[in-house]
This record gives sequence, structure tokens and C-alpha cells, in this order.
Amino acid sequence: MTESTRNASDLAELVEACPFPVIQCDVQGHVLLTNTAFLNLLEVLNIPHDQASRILPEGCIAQLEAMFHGKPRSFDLKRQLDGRFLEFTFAPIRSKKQVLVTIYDRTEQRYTALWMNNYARELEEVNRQMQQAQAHLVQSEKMASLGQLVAGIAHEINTPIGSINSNNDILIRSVSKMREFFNCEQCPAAVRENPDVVKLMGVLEEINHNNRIACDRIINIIRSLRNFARLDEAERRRVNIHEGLDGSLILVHHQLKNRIEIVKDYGDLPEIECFPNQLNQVFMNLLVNAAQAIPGRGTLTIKTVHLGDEVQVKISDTGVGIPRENMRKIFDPGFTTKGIGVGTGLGLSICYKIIQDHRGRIAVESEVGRGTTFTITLPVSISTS
Amino acid sequence: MPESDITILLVDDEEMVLTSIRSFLAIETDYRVHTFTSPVKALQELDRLNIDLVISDYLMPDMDGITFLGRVKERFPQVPRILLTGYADKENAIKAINDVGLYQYIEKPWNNDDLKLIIRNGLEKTILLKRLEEKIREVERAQNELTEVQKQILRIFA
Repeated sequence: MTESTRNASDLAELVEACPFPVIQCDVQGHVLLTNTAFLNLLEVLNIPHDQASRILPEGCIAQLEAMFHGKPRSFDLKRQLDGRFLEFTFAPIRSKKQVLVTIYDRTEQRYTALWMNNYARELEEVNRQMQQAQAHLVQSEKMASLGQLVAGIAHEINTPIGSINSNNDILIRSVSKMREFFNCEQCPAAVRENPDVVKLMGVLEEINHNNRIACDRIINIIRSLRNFARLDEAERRRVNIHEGLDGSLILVHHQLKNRIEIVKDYGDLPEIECFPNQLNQVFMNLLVNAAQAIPGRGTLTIKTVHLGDEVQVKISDTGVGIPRENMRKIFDPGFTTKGIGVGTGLGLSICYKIIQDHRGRIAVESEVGRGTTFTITLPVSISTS
Repeated sequence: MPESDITILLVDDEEMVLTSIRSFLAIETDYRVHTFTSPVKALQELDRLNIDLVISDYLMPDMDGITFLGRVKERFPQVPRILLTGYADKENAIKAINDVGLYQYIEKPWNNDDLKLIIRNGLEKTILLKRLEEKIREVERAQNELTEVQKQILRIFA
């Protein structure tokens, strides 16, 4: 056995022992030697054994021919064939001007990586949805307990204010009887015209009148609180949404007074089928936002119209407006420009969800420096739409 | 029937509500008003009081207003029953109108003019009923007398 034939049989043995597909070929791409792993790969790829060179990446011949012009160096190439991802390493056999080609089948890793990527993306999406759902849940839980608290307080205050209101009425009646007495003929003029009596009667009448206004206001607030909570109406029912709008206005009164002019342009609306407590939450939210958007003095306009089997509520403010880049994000949960501790960024996303649940639509138009208009469109009847 | 002959029973667990309504009725009417903070105690005194109208709160610790008015109805069915309710009990009040035959319900906080009107209208019904009973009794008495006279006449001519 000559040295070269021994070398050749050594190489064949080495190649065969290699667990990867390995071939020996010349610079023209003719396959000279193969191993079992390679033949198996050909089977997988449906390539006949006598066309083995088809497996080589296009353009490798040019590189192979160039390989021995200078100092021979190995190089890598990749190709996709019949759905499999193959990596080739071309290593020069200097003495023979041939190459040893090792093929790595990366298909599994490649698919795994792709699959992992997709899976990660899906997980991210699910995670985002979960966070959103959680935010909604927390917010609606919060609103539910707030509702309970509000209804409880309203109920507790109701009895004492009822008593005070009645007593005030009694005082007004009594003072008016006293006035009648002073004005009748049996009453001596000295008493009637006594400056202390005149002053006392004046003060009594004034403070009683004052108390009546104060009582009316408290009673009105309690009524609004009850309407807002509407725990007795957690179910769907038909209501006039003007009541809800007016009630919400009373509740945000402290944010508006003396600063913001309210313009009500109410149309003739039919009662609509809805969850009143939820809609009130939306009105409340939009009114508070509008009030907060107006830095100094301004106008808040509430317009309602009846459009066929829908009703529309437009809440407009003359506030700072929403920059164009924020318009797309305003209904996203967690988006806020009010700063930490002021806004939760959940308000509008909840509004959006509530209106969606009512099979309605909420839209926004805004111009920086001019103001913002939110338009809510609701079906008169949820079930038939 | 003068107002001073009319007796009203008022039950509310809140003393302040009793005081307010009693004071109002005192300056605006001559009704006699009995007040109780406990419906159970009011029931114990019921026979003695000879009432013409009853007003009761709904939510009370020892007995709710609807049960209380139901008991009053059992003993004095002709007495008008008025329920004074908080907002949250409205549904119950409406049910009670049918269940215990409420004459009216008044929502807290109440309006004194409405209260007076409801009491007066309720009493008108009892007063009319009372008058009717009196008239029936008078007619019966007259008829009895007539029958007696008739008997005597028959005896004379027999």
C-alpha cells in the first residue's frame, strides 16, 4: 500500500466515522467521497445519490476555485433546501486541491427558534391583554366599592337631613306666624316697631331662607350620589340620560364653579336601554376630564340629539386640547398625561369599554389650544341593534 | 269631626324624626300625636290609644315597618297606614302597598306640605267610614224604634 492510498483510506474511514454529513469534493463541485450520514441526508432531501452535488449551495464553485489562488482558508455557506436549513463548512485539503465539506442540518434549531419567537410574541400579547383586563377589573372593583360607600353615606345622611329640612320648614312657618302676630291689631305698635324685634325678625327670616337653600343643596347632592351609585339599578333598564348628565354635573360642581360656564343644549331624547350606573361613570369621567382640561375660565357644552334609533351626547370643552400624537393612545389603559398620582390613565379606557358594552361608539375630536369634543353614540335599545 | 279628636300614631326609631314631625303637626294642626321609637312598644299600647291613622318608618331594629303596619291592619283594618321610607327601600315600599294595603308611602327627606296633605286625605277616608258607621247605627236604631212602634200598634189593634 502506497502512502497516498493509505492516506486516502484513512480519510475515508475518518469521514465515515464523522456523525455529520461529510463529503470530499474537487473544486468543480464533483463529489468524490461521502459518508453514511450524508447519504441519509440525501434520502431526506429526495436527491438521487448520483446527483449528490445538487446539495451544494449555488455559487460555491466560484468560491472553491478562488480558494486555492491565495492561501487556502475554509469558509461557510448557508442554504435552504426543501424546507431544511443547511450550513456548509468548506475546508481545504491543500495537497489535493480538494475540499472537505461538512454539512450541519440546522432545521430543528431554526424551527425551534422561530417557534419560540412566535410563542414569545403570543405570550407578550396575552400578558398585555391580562394586564388590561386586570386594570379594568381593579377599576370596576374600585368603582363598585366606591358605589357602595357612596350609597351607604347617602342613606346615612338622608334621615338627619330629612329632619333638619323639616325643622327648617317649621321655623319658616313659625316665624311667618310671628310676623302675622306682630302685624295684627292686638299687637301694640311699640312691640311691632321695637328695633330689636324688627332686627330679630329680619335675621330669623334671612337665616331660615339661607338654611332652606343649604338644605335643598344637600338634598340635591344626596339625590345625585344615589343616582350615581344606583346600586338598586345594577341591571339594564330604560332611563332618560339627561338625569344622569345632570346628576354628574352636580357632583363635579366643585371643579366647575365660578370658573367654567355650563351650556346645556339638550334635545328631545327617548329613554334608552342601558346600565345607568355605568353610563353615569362615563359622563362623570368625561366631565372631570373636560374641567381639568380648562386651565382658567372656559365653557363646557353638553349637547344631546336623537338620531333615529340612536342618541348622541357631545361633551365639548374649550380646554388645552389633545396633541395629535396622543390622539391614538387616549383610550389605551395606563395612558395619562396628568402626571403620577393625578390620573390613573384608566378613566378613558373604562369609558371605552362601557360604551362598547352598550354597543355604542365613542369618538374624539380635538385641536390643541381650542378644545376637545367627545361624542358618544348609543343605541336606544341594546337588544335590537 | 274636630282635629283635636283625631289621634295619629307615629313610629320611627330615630327620635329626631319623631320630634320633627310632631313639631310640624303641633304648629299646623290640632291632631293628637303619639310617638314611639319602638314598633313593639307601639303594638303593646295600640288598644289603649284608639288611633285614626298610623305613620311608620321602614327600617327599624326590633321590627320592620311593613310587619308593624301588617299587625296594625290585623287589629284595626280601617286605620290608614302610611310608610315613611328611605330611598333604598322604595322597592319594598311599593311591594308593601299591595302586601299590607298601604294607604301611601312618603319618601325621606319628606316635604311637610305633602305630609300634611297625605295625612288629611287618609283621615278623610277614615272619617267618612266612621260617619258611615254612625249613620248605619242611627238608621238601625231608628229602624229598631220603628219596629217597636209597629209592634205596639199591632198590639193595640189586635
